[in-house]
Amino acid sequence: MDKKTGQSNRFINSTVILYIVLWLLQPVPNRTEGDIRGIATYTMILATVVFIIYLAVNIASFEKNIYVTTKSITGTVLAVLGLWVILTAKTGILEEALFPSPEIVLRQMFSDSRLPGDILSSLITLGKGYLSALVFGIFLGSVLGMSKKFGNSITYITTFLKLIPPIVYIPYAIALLPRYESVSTFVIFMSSFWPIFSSTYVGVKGVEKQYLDSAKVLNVGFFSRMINVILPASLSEIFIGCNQGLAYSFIMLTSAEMIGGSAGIGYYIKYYSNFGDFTRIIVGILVIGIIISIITFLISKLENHLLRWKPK
Amino acid sequence: MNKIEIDHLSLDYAEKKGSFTALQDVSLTVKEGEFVSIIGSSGCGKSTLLSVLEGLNHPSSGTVKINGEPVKGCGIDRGVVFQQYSLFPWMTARNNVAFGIKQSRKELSRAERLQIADEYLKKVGLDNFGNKYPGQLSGGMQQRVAIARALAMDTDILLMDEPFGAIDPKNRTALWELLLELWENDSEKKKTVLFVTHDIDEAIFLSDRIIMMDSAPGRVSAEIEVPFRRPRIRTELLRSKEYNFFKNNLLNAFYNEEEEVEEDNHYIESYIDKIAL
Ligand SMILES: Nc1ncnc2c1ncn2[C@@H]1O[C@H](COP(=O)(O)OP(=O)(O)OP(=O)(O)O)[C@@H](O)[C@H]1O
Ligand SMILES: [Mg+2]
Repeated sequence: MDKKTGQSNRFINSTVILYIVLWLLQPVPNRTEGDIRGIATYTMILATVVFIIYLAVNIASFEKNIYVTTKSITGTVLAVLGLWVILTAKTGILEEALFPSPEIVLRQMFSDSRLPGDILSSLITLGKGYLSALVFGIFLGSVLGMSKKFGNSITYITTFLKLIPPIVYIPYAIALLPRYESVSTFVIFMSSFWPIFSSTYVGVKGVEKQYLDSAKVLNVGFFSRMINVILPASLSEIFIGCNQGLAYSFIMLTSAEMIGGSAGIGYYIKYYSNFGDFTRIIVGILVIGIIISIITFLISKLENHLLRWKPK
Repeated sequence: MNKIEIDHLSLDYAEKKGSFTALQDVSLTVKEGEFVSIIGSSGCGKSTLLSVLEGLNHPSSGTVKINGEPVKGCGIDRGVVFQQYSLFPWMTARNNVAFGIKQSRKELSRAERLQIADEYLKKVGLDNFGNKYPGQLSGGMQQRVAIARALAMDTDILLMDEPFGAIDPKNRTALWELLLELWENDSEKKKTVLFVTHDIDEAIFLSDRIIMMDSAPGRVSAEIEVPFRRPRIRTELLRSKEYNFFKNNLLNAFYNEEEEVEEDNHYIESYIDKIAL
């Protein structure tokens, strides 16, 4: 019995077996024409890198949850690679033109010269739109939430505006804004602002009276009250809106770039789909998936850190 | 000099239909440096009375003055310990105390504030808990942090609402002594303390004067000077005849106020026997 997982052996388990299977697949001849003979270098480098990280974490004996996370990520990557290569190059079950093998996709991904520029462009667009929504949304939400004048009217308005699919802003943005990049930024701003604003407003309105009374008898000034009392007290509520806004942003980022962009990962996919270049389309899809996973992971880490005081 | 002057104070809470009179015609003065306890049955308006002094509620009629000035709102001359937990759960115990110090003693640097915070946490017996969040502390420990914060803020006036209610007897007696020590010796000026409690021994041991309140509507029913000299030695005082005589009278007065409770000397005597043990 393994003390970390409670069930599987540390060195003979599904992850190790998947890695070995991937190697055993290598000598099997390809049924497709486009694939290189012999060892699939990019595939095996990727597989080996994730496998070594897994082993390192395993041997270094980090906390249980780090180990489990690494193990499941490694297992997923290896399983996807294995299944993918079997369905494409090794058997030809999937149409070669639509579903290139992992080796072809990975080679394209790591040698594509315009990809880094497009990724950077998307990240900048996302950063500008989302961060400004964050700043304005949290600021306006907490100022209006703190003031006694506004009652439920704001909640009704924001509930309505939140329900509008942000994609409808695209035609207006294209018509009104001078440059393509600002279209994507604007649409991301619009799609993440409302959830962030309304959750902040609701959170701040709902701060428990006992905290406000404590702050009052301590004579805490306006800004200190906002930063040290009201925002922390409504933080978990605010994070709900931030995560929702982020999810909208990802959807809108690629949509806006595909509809009206001239750069970015959405545009990359759109551009190559005009040529039916499915290798690059898959590269684009993978890159988007990876970026979203990394950002979501970092934000959830940040959330856990900022809310570490909450009793579990 | 009168530090606190309450003159014909009434307070009505607005309710869905009409209003509820929580305090009616309460008049009370507390001298500078005086330690005054308030006892009275649950719901008689003790917390409400303190809330007016804290500046959180406003009189419906009558006046409340501190240092001769009508109370306009909250002020940093008053240190407050609420009946319910008053800590910020997102700050560690040390930061909660330091945050309070920051509000009342702006001249101190951050390092000094943290040092004082640690000092006071030690005084309330929580030296190893500075880095814990309130959610990781027991109810009594949280209350001790709140007490440490109020004491560390070094205010002229302390308004304490059943601060020791949730604390075990051993820590409680230690806190009595700590509170008296800080009240008498900590700064040049003696602090003025208004202290709500349900514990008669606590009220007698700590105070110069005891205010009894009665309910429906909340009002002051009696004021009793505590005749014992200071410094009071707790163990000696509790054993003395005078103490038990005084306490007996106090309980008599207290139960006579309560209409529901039958006048029954046997009951009172056996009650006294129980606590004297
Ligand atoms: N915010 C409020 N709105 C309406 N009524 C209230 C409010 N706060 C208190 N009351 C009522 O006022 C009365 C006095 O309450 P208060 O909290 O001052 O009592 P207390 O003497 O502190 O009681 P305890 O010893 O249980 O703490 C109670 O009857 C209570 O129901
Ligand atoms: Mg009370």
